[in-house]
Amino acid sequence: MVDHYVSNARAAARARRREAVEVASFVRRLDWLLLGSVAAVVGYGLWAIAGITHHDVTGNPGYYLTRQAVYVFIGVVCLVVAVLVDPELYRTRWRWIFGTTAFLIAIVLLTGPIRGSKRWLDLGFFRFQPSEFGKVLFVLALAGLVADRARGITRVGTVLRILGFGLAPIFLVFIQPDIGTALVYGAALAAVLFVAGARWWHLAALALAVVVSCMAILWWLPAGGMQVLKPYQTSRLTGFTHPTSDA
Amino acid sequence: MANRVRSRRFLPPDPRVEEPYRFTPKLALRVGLLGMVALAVFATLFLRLWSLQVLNGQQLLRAAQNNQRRDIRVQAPRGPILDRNGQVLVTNVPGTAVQIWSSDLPKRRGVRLREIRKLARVLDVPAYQIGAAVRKHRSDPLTPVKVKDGATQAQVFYLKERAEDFPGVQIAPTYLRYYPHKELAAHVLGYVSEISPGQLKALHDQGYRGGDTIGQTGIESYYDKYLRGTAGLSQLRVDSLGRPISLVLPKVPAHPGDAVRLTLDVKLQKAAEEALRYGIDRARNSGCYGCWNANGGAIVAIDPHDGAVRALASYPTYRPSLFVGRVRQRALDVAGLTPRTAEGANFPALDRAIDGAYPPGSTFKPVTAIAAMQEHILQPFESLPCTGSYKKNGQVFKNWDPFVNEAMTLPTALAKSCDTYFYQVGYRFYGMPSDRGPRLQAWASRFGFGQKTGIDLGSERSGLLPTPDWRKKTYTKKTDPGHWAIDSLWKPGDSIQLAIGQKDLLVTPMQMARFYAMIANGGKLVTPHLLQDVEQPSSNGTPGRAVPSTLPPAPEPTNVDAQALAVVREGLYQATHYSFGTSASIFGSFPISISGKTGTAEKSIDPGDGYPRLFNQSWWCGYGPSDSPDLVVCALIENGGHGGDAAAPAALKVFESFFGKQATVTGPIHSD
Repeated sequence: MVDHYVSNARAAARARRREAVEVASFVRRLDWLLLGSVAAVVGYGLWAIAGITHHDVTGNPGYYLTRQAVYVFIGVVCLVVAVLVDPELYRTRWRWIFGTTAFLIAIVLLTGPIRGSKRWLDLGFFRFQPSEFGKVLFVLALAGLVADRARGITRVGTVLRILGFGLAPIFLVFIQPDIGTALVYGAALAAVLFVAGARWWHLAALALAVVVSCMAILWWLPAGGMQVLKPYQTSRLTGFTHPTSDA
Repeated sequence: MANRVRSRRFLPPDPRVEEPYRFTPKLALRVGLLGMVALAVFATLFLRLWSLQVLNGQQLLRAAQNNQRRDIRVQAPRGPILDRNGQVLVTNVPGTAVQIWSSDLPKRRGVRLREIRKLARVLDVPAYQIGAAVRKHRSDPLTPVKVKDGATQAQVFYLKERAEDFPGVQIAPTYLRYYPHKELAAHVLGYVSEISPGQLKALHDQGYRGGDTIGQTGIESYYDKYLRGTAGLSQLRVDSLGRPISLVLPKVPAHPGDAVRLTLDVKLQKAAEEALRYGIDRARNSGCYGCWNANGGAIVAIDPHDGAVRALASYPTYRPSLFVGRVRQRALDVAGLTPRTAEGANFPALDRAIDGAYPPGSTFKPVTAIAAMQEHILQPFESLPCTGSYKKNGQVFKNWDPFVNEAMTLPTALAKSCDTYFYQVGYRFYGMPSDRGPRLQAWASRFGFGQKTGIDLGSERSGLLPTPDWRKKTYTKKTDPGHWAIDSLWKPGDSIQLAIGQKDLLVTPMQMARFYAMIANGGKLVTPHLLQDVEQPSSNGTPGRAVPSTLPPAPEPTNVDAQALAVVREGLYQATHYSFGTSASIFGSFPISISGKTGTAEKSIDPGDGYPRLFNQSWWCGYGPSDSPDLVVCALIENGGHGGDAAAPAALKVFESFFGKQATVTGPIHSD
């Protein structure tokens, strides 16, 4: 009995020790540099908001600061949840992630326009923009896809398949219209292909295609009388060349 | 343990992947490159930020601060409208406007609605109208929303005392149009109202902005450019969302609009409007056929020398003040000023003097007479039989007086208004060779018929001068499938009836007055006009002065033979002086010699029972004094019976006022 008890106690102590080691190693493995920079950005944001909005709501100088703090808290909770999820899950379930993201972005198109574009899903108490969550989920899903096909990344077929998967949500976001988010998606797709190890000349051909289509959309087709983008979209893309105009 | 560490450093093994995803040198190179690209991009952004913030910081700060000041328009007081003697026809009275800055309304919906409801109760304006106005201006937080224009003193005090209960509500001084003579000359003056979205789109280039007051009809509209003045400018500091954060600071004062002086004479205008009502009443009481339906008309009085309009009356009329301040839809409905109720009220907004087209009847006979003499198809003192009726090609054309049977010369035919005499002249026009076109119409056109007179008053009708070409174009297989083959031809009857101003011919009273002015002034066609001059009001320091404005075109010669004119003038003189003249019993005893012509024109009218039938339109046109005319008067009474019944007595009233003399007893009337 006693023996048994002792061995039980030892087992428990061993388990505790192992647990402590695991937690310690988990904590050590965290990317503290990244977390530190995020914390710094968030802190700077809170400080800036506190200063700017101090006089906005009469009688309640901390109104926007508390609001932002609540958002930060929600963000931290989400961060903890995300950290605790095994990355393996993303890799094995990338199809689900991709499907859900694409579905949410697609059904946004069926809703009524808000301020001229269809980006938001209205849940009554909360209005959210699926394409914003999509920025993260899109990269995860693409990474899962690429990891599945890491061996074949040098083949044209694989690259084209990845491109096909990537361009579908880009197109959906583009027609919302939300050209900014579409560009972010495009950059993410390019980075994923690059890091995954696509052949240099594949990447070069892709870059050439992107440059040619940009020229076509911004200058050649409008010169020929066919407007792909609305004028304000064009001016947003070319606006960096003359920052003092208020277009 | 080693295995475990490895699995932590690299991606875990996957049965589908032959080799674990290793951190190979190749991958390291790629990640490194990506990192460098990211670094380069952020370095660029950082450098750009530094250049904007540090290098150009001061300059951009100034630009941003300028952006925070917004301009607000200060409405200028509108210029007054004066008559030729400087009597005020329209001016402004200061009013108090209640406005809402929609961005200062409570943010919470319920609180906002409660405030609007409370405001509605105080101001006696329906709450839904305030809500609709606020919603309409939601995209423009810098233009205050007008809730009420003429708030009473009690309302203003109430709102000022409880200012904290009404956030966003502002009391502002404003100017309201004021009409000291009520509905006098309403059709000439027109009315003003807030600029409509359509007008704003069309006139934005000319400096009109949302919320501006603009003339909608009449002089207010035609000379809006003089009357509106120049809006001033105030500035307001706003935050990045366009919400005001300071008081309104005046920058540029508003320039009041210029005064527009009209050729109109208030005294004569009053007389003309009274005369018009008198003529209508007279027609109604005369018991003549159809006169129970006398319900409208127009009187035009112009100066034959230059076409200056001395009086312009149209009946029924309306009060322009209905459009001042907050317009009540129901009041407009009752006054017949909305499309729904206009017909029931016999179109009070219609200016019949320039926008009503009627067959002229016998008042047109001088046109026929002059044209016939000019074309040498009629000798002035040639005797033609005047009979009870005239037969041509089996068709019978009746004289208004069936019992007459004598030969007469042109002046007598005019004085007696013999239809059958002019039927024969009309048939002579029909018989003329067609290679020079229809001659009667050519002369009528030279005298201004079938075209706008060019009066400075906006919406004007050109009437209808029928020609063979017009018949061909109007009656086609498509428009008149049953009878187009016959109707598209110009027939003898068309010429015969045109000679006495009947059938298809339509003229406006103003066109008629213009023609009689031509007879009166010896053959010059004037352009009727209302503008005398534009004056800048004197304000502190600067004296008033005339503003250069576009003057009406000078009278144009029509090259009519002086002898032909003299014959017609003789006929018109006999008509009002000789015992057989059609309006001699009315004008014969007037101390000043008046010449003129009656007219009775048949027009098909539905009096409201669904059975259109012919009603007599009563006309009289003429001038006085006969030998050197100073005034031309043209009167028209709708459904007023014979010209001598209603129109001629009405015209006499205008002459009485103009010459300041009364006519004595009038004898029995025998006229067409």
